[in-house]
Amino acid sequence: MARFLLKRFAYMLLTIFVAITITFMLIHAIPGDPLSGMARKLPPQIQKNFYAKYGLDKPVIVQYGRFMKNLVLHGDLGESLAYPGRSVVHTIKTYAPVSGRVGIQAIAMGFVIGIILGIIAAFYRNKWPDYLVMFIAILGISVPSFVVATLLQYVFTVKFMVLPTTGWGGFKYTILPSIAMSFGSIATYARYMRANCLDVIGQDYILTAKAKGVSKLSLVWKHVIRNAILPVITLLGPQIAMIFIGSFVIESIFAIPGLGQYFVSSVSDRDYTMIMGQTVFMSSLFIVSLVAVDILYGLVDPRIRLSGGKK
Amino acid sequence: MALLLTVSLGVSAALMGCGKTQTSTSNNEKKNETTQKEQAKGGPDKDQYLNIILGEEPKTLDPSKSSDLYSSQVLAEVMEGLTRIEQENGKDVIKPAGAKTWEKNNDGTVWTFHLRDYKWSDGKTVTANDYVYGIKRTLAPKTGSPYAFLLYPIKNAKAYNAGKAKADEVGVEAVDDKTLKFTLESPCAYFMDLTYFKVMHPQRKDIIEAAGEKYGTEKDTMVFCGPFVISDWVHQSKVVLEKNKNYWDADSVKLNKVTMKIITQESSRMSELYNGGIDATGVSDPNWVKKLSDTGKFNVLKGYDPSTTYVFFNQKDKYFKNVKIRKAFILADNREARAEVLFRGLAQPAYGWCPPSLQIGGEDFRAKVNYEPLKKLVEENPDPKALLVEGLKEIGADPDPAKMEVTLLEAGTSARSKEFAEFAQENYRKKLGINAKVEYVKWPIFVKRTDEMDYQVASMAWSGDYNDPMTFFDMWTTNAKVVPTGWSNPKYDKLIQKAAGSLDQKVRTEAFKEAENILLYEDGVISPGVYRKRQTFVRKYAKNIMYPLFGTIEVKYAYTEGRK
Repeated sequence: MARFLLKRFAYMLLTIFVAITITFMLIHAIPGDPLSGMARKLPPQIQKNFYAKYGLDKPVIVQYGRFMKNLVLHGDLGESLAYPGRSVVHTIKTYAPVSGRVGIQAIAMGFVIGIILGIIAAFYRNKWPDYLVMFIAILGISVPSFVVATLLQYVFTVKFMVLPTTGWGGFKYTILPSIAMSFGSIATYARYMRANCLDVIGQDYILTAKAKGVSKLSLVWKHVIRNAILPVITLLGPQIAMIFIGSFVIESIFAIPGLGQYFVSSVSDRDYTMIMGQTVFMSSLFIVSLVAVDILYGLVDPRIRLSGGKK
Repeated sequence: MALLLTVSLGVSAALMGCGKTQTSTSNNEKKNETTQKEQAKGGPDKDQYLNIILGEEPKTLDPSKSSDLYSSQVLAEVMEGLTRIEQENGKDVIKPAGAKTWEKNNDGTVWTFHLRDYKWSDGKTVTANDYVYGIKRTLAPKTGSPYAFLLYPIKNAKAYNAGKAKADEVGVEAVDDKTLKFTLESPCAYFMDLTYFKVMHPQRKDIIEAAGEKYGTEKDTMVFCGPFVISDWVHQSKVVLEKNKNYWDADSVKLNKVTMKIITQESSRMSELYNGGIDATGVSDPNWVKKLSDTGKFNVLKGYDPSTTYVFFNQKDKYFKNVKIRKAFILADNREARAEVLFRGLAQPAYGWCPPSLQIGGEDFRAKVNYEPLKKLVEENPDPKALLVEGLKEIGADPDPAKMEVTLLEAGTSARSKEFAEFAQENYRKKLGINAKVEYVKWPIFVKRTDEMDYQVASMAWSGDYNDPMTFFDMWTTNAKVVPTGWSNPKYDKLIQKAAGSLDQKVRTEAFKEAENILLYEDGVISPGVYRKRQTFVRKYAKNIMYPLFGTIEVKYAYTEGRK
């Protein structure tokens, strides 16, 4: 186990390093710079002062060296170029949890409802509950979340004024965005779970269990879910990583102060430092989540061994 | 010197912005409101608060570093510069604020301001030195201020900003604690129009030095001296203002709390406006206009935005070096349809460059010149296609317009950008017989391509920075290099120089009039499309909200009466 983790950790660092380097070079290669996001064109002297202040007048390789040095030695990602004075690390620390809160609620809802729907669909295969679930799933996948969000907003804040339209602060502000965000994942999980369940139901051991007279509930709980859920967990890992990134669309519709808005606007603003910060944050999360999924596999399915050991 | 405040993503922004309007409700209308069903018990509400929109998260509230409109909106309410911009009878008026009185010398190169006795929110007195410090900090090259150029009329300001003069040589000094003296490079007819802008606000040296780079990123790093102070700032969500008890004119301030909600989505704003979450905002979507109007709970304020949309041509291009071809393109635009259809009626066809309601010496420039160069061009050339063919023959190209290879560079890749480009395509096809292609690019790439003269025809919008036609005209001088077209005309440069160096508004008006004629009628440099307008829906119970043309929204005197 320790060896496995150590090895994965080393790979992880390498992957992050590669991701950072490629992103850094790419964002400096695309046309435009932080000033072009600000205004049409500033007088030459103004531009010169700005570039000098943020070291953008130096060659890209020098900027890269400085960025890596600050990151490795001080864990510092610098100061945002679009929001002068705001530290990138601080911004991520403050706003990732906001996105995370909506995201976790959405995933929890999506996961639980999706799995239940999937199981129901599988056990009532080709009957009306199955069709209903699949109809919902297709709807969930094909209707973009912003449509759902706008619709929910209209119904619950304009037609029936029961929930706040936008803003942040307290559970009631998270209800609509969480539902809007979970819509897509309910669909995904339901479809996955249905397919896996069908697969498992066809197995011999289920037949055996049935023959032994195991009750339906315990059959589902002990035998079906445990075996069918494995591939769904594969899906869950990266999704959990992504929740901290937030959803740009949902966050802007409900005016939620999350990371999602920075994630998109930093690219169009050419906010180099913010883009890099997000890259480091997101790639780390993503890779960690993959490792976590590997470990989870071992817990859920004893057949999977993480490291060498006996064959 | 002019530069635009908000052109980024130009045209499309016009349809969503937080409104700027000039007409205000007449007294009669006001009387009617109160007799409506909400029948006020008389007098302002007990609980005085207002919820308004802040278009986007302010980039920073450090006046030296911010470049966006949204920081200006907040700073205007929490800071007190020498003057404030207010509205009277639908016109922008500069009112004494931090300065009680001022005078200038005969040739307008030395201005002296006498400050009133007023305080920062931490109790310290605002002194002339705070102003001097603020101005010099903005100009210091190491600050990297995007808006330092607005201060260039001050003596040696430009040189200091370029590192070619010392801070001490800049023409601003504190004669004593209450007297501030400016020495200008040359007379500047619009100097007063700079005095309320954020780059002229006083700044506190001790506070700023203690906060370092963090100044203006959080409310705790700042002190205030305006009608309100910031009591809460949740990034990307809201800025909450509270009445400033230390404000010198606190008696005029009725509101105890102003919440500026940061909502970027139009549909969310509309829902908030409809259900009472906000009390006022700009509305352009015809469906919402109807839905909101039907409630009967809103006053609609309409007015101009100090901006013009325009098409510009690359004069290094084989076609567009020819003035007849450019003019043919100018004539091909259907400005009426553009205003009516593309802008949903929230615009006026532009047959000149400087938009209506922009003032010169307190008078409307457009009304004063009473001449529209493009009208003359249209009258003299009933057949744009003939003009185009003539031009094509002059440059020795195939005279068949259908064989012209023209690509329009369009900023933005949204559905809205597509509407704009397709509208232009259709005009050129119908009126000139040209099959133009369109290339859609993101804004930063658009900037780069036009800067490098790698385009044929492109379009943008221009918003003025201050209330003087200069903000629309000096951008086209040879040295300005703001919008690269490859055009240069010494006669035009001279006229602008004349207008810049004079304080006589008659001389200036004539100079601008002639310059505009050269720009549009004689040389066909750009093709103005529309003057943009704004339409703001305000709850009837919300009184006295001002929308100055230059400035965003003024709520210093606002109050509510009859809010349920």
